[in-house]
Amino acid sequence: MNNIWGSMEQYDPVVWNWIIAVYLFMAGLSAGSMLVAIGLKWYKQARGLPSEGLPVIKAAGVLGPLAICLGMALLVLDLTKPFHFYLILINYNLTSVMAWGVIALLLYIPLVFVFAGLVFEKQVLKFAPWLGGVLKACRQVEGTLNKLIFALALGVGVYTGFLLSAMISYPILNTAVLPALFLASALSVGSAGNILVATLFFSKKESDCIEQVHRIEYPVAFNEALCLVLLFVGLNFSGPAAQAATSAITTGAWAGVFWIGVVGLGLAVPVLASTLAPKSWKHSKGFLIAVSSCTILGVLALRHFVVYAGQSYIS
Amino acid sequence: MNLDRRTFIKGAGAGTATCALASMLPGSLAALERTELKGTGSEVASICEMCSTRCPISARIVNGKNVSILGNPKAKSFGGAVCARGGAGHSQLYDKQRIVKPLKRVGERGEGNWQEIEWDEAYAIIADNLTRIKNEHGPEAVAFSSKSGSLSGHLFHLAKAYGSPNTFTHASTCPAGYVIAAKAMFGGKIKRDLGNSKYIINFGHNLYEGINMSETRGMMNAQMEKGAKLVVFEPRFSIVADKADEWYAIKPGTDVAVALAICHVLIEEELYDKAFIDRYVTGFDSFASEVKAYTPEWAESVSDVPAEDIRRITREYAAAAPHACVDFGHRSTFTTEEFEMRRALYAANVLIGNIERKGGLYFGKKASGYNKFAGEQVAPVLAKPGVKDMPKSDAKRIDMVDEQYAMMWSSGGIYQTILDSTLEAKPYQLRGWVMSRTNPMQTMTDRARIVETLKKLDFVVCCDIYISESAAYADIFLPESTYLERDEEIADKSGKNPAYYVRQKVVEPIGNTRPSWQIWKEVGESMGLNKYFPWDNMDTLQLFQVGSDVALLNKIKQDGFVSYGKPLMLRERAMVQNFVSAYPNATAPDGDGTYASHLKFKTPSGKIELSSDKVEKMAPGRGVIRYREVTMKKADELFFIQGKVAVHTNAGSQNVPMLANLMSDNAVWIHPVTAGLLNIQSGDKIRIYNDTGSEEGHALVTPGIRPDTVFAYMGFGSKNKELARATGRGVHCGNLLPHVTSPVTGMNLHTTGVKIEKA
Amino acid sequence: MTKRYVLVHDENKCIGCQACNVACRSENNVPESVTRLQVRIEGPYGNYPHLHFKYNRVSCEQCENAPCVKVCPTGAAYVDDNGIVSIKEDKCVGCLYCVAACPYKVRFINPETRVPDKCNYCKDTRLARGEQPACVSVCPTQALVFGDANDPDSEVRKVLDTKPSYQQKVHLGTQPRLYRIPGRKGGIQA
Repeated sequence: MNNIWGSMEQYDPVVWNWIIAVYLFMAGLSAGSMLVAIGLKWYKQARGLPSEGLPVIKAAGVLGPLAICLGMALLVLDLTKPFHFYLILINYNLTSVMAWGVIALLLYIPLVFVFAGLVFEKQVLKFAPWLGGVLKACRQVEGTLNKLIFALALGVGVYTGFLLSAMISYPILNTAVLPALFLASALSVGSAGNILVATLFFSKKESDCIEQVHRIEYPVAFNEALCLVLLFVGLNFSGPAAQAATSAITTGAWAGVFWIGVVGLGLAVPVLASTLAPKSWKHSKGFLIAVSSCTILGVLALRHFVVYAGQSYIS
Repeated sequence: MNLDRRTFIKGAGAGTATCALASMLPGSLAALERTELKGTGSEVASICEMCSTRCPISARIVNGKNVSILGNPKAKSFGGAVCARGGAGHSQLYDKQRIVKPLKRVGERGEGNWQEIEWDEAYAIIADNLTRIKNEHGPEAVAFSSKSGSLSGHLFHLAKAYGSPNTFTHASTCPAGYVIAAKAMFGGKIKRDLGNSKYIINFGHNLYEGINMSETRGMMNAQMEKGAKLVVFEPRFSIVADKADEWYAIKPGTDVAVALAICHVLIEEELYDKAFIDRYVTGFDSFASEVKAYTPEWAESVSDVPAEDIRRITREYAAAAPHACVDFGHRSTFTTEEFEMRRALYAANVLIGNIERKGGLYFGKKASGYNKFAGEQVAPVLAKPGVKDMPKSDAKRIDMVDEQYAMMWSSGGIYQTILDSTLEAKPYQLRGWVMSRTNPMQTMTDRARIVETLKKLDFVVCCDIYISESAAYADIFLPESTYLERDEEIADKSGKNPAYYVRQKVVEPIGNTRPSWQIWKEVGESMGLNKYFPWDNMDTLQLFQVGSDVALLNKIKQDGFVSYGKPLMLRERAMVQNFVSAYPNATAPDGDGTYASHLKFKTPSGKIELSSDKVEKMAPGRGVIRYREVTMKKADELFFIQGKVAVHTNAGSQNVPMLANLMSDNAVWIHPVTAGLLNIQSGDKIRIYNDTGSEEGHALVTPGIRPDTVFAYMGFGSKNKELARATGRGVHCGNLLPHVTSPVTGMNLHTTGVKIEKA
Repeated sequence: MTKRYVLVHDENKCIGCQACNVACRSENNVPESVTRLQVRIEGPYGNYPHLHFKYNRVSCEQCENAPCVKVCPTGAAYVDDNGIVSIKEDKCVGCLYCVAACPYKVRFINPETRVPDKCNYCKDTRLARGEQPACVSVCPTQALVFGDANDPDSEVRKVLDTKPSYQQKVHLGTQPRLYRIPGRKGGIQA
């Protein structure tokens, strides 16, 4: 039949595009880096070790606020009415995952800045001595603040997954595994991001906590891989539409992104490198930069894959 | 237009569809500032002109910038509906590419260089040239052609005043086959009562895509609410085929064989209405003896329709008689044997005696005849404006080359003889062509030959809304007001009872356009023919029609559609009784309670001429309906057929923005088996060609077409640059169809052979 | 008692002529590049000669349990008192969440208002004047029936009570208020 009913462009299933994928990535990066940094802090504190000035924590102090701000900037630019952004801050529909995300981010973002302020207290006071009082007050409740940030970072990490999984008609998205997958990958990218920034800017020879961060990459990668397996095995058992969606990893351009980017760069390369590489390499700057970059690219690929392939299969 | 999805969804791409060319086109609406629409009323009843069906409409101005068009609810059988084309009327009105100023060609014909001129200058140039041709070669050297209806009468009046007998409608490219066949058998046009039919046999009359509102609605209503059965014979799986209870993919051009086989079974099995035949029909015996040979088995061998199905369908059809009907179709350019085919279809109706019966065929009941039956003035009779002492032309029409076409001379003429007359001086040399709202480049055949013709003529004038493919070759282009901007005479819309309706201005004309009645009057006056145009304007003509009965005129204008009396079919007893009880002075019914004895036919015998001496005299051997084998393609070619789509009107609407947005291209339908042999897949670029021409398009592989046939919706693939939204999109059907004139009907032919290859 | 506006599309009567598509555009001033309503002629399905087309009306399904309303962060998308899924333009930021979340893909951004748009049964235009939606009024073959299903005497109620009908994607729990009478040749293909 000839198409006599007009253009079908409007009905393209992919509504959210790379901007949203990058936003989701950035939110995950920010949340993950905070989780890893605060986790490391707690780990050190539990063992009575000093946690001040650790390169990884410094890295988080940079990445945490920077990533979330970049992400938010992209999100706002992607609105059809960016200048009416304030509307989303004054109107809340609590059945919407996005409204909950707005609440979480409204709390999370200032606190991440407080975290960064405390990490870089000296530098901050140099430029803005008038912040001294505020920082002092914050320092007094730092323990509580860190718990709050940790909880909110968990929330932000999970939220990015729920944002997509709330869309009921996409089998790849509409699954409870997705938030778990996004949290796991947020942790991977958070630790990799922290390592990268720490290695590039803050690393001193005597520091060894990069190694400790590095250690959590195995369980995180395992969790991420498990979530991916669960996602697609689950799809395969969830009726014809969902079953059809499994071809996202077998056919089309996004299958390539999945196998080369998500699985290859994001999972296989870091895990294999860490297990197979000779000891002498493992602490070299170059090795750390290369491996963490692979993880970051892998997670970026994962967000793109989920956003694009996810919307391409509709039940 | 290839918009990035993102810019698209965010709306950045809006409004980019207008082609740059449009803004450069002289005389186009784009050159004018957009002004507020000046509505002539809050809701105006009028008549659509997006196709030739001319449905009653009701138009409303929305916020001074848009016209919402719906059907006029006063016209019951139209039910307040319009089709997509009708609804898009305002899109044509407002189209930036519409021409709103007279244009003069600069440069070569067809080159596309135009200069804006004033009306006076246009008229002066036309008067100069037409007068010169008249003086040097006689007025008959100019042909005048117009789509029928739509003020065509005014152009033909000009032709007459000028002195040329050569006037043509589009008839021989579309409906003349069934019109001429009806003339031969019934003495005039006949209508179908599909809405009350219980069994409808349809030979590719695609009422669900070539929408004729009241018939489309009637048939759907009969099918869905009254349980009518629909059988469709069509090579393509069209919408009407889809909605049918049975569909047979008949071989193109062999409908006549199946129709004759149906007649054969009706006669052989004595299923026909003997009493009706005895009373109303002549020539039955010779028809019956001819039809003896046309067995269903024979028809199967010709048409691929199984014999047992033909027999069964015929029996079912006869069982539903007389409330059953074989639809005689509309566009009648399937085969060169149109005359026999349409007569055979009528014959299948005549045999079951469904004439003037519900669900069968009937004659329109116009006011004068209706009033006579009623014995009172139920409906006003309108006067026909005319001018006395019109010049009589001694010249023969150019299509008077063969007596067999005699019935066509007064039914629109054989349009394509303009080509023979211009190129071969047959029967004499044509030198000028004035055309109005007609686009022969698309609707006639053999496009290359039309180009040659237009290039050879001394002078070509075209009146239209757009610079159509044909208008592209004009010397002078005259922009007509669209139907939403002009008034016309009151028109007769009688069905089973008398009815009138009228086209009225909905908005004041945009730009510098004029209604064609005014254009032709002014052209006449510029040639000093004032005495033949004694009226001032349309109001004068309308008032004349109603005999200065202002109240009547206002009523018709107010309602837009006015019908009178009760529906009447002469052989339908309940209707006649109803009629008689309504009108005390009505003609007394026959003993059986009907007006059966009043059923007369305007044929030489006064009866239905199943076989006709008159036809035999005109075209020896054709008095009796007979099957003749025709070859429409070479053995190694595929049949090429065309059809209509619901969102376009032939070749007239492809540039209307809203409709172009719905569909701007026509794929070529190819059966999967054929496509497999040619290694063609859906969407592939293909070349479709034959001895007449070659076109490029793309393929649509679908089981909805016979393996030996390909199909395309007609009207696409325009080749002139002025139609920016249509040019170069799709396959130009007219460029593939050979120049053929069918016997008796003078129809051109829209079935041919083509070859296809991957491009 | 509030109204429960529903629309019934009879795929047997529908001929895919797009009169509704155009009437909707004209009545509601829908910009050229987007559309609120299409009737897609899909197919032919089946095996020769038993082919059939499917006439698929694509427009807002007016879900009772509307995913677009649920995901809207600001409450700009809402269901009005008569069950018509509607949009408060001044609350919308244009996050496209509703567009993405609609299982029927019938929401789009209106390039002029930059806010999601879709069929609303002509509630601001014809319905407000007491008329039927444009598509219903214009339909050449009367394939559409519209009305208040809470009214036991309404034509929609009669049609729904007497003819088989289906809704699309019921498994998603959206409870669409666009009902379809399946083509007699095709059967139900939701």
